[in-house]
Amino acid sequence: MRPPSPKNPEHELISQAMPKALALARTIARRLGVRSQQGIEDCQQTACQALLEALPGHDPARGSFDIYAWKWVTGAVIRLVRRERSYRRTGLDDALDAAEVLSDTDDPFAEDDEERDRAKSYCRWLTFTRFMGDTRAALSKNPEERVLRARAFEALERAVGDIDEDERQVLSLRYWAGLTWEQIGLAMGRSERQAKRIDERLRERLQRGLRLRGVEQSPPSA
Amino acid sequence: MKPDPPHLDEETLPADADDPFIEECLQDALGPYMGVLSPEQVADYRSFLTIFLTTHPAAGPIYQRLRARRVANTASAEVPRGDAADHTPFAGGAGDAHDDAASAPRAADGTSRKRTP
Repeated sequence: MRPPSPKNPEHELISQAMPKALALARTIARRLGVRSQQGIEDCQQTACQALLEALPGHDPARGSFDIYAWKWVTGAVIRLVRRERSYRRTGLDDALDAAEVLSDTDDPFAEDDEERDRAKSYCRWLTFTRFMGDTRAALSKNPEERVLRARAFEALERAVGDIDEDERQVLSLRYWAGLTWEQIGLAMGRSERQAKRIDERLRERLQRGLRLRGVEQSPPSA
Repeated sequence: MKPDPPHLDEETLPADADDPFIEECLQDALGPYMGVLSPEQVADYRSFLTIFLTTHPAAGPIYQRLRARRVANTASAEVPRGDAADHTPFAGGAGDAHDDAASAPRAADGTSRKRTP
């Protein structure tokens, strides 16, 4: 009797992920208004292709395969339903990338308010990255579009509170011009670390946005 | 490949408004950008966030737990339509269960739920 052959880890991953990808594709397709069986099957086929194409790029050190696969399958199905023919990076790609690094830490004992705040925080972050990416795409057509920049800053101030000149520069250079932290530091006459710190402060304010806007107050801790 | 034309408008996502948790997250996240984003963009962002909340491995379980607790806290003998455990995309997903809720009869309070005998 031959000993069982060692299983190929990639095959293992795919065989575990494929049923999930099919279910996810169906859910997304229905949510985006695809009703015909043919349409749903097309989405599922696209999801399978995306999964196979994504597999070689997965680095287990960066996170779970499930989250990585979610990003690729979701992106591929949304594009198919939108019938996007030519690829151009937009805010959707930024949001999908942002979703890839979110932790899937499970805390079944977390309080309701804590869980709500975490989900809201995720949504705020994804919306911010998507908005910044879409603004970058719009500005790439007309970099001098002052009105667009002004309106974007207006919206960002509603999201994170007042934005000072340094913060405006970081937002412009990092998210719209796509410079590295080193380049941003040089452009601002600051160190790379100082530039990063400004960005971190903005992110912290975004996380606290719920309370900043006074939409909801967390109950006092016990 | 010919999927149905996409309908990325508010009307095609009636379930969004039905789930208070999802609606709360959408309002919170999109609020600052209203007036800057076009209606089409708003609908597109909403559908993306809803997909994220219901299917992503980090957010889906939160949605499911909150949904389950809400059901448990609702008046006795009321359970949601569909069984989240039957649908297991990457989040262990309730995506389909949420979709199913869209077609469920509406209760007087605007939620979708099924009464057990």
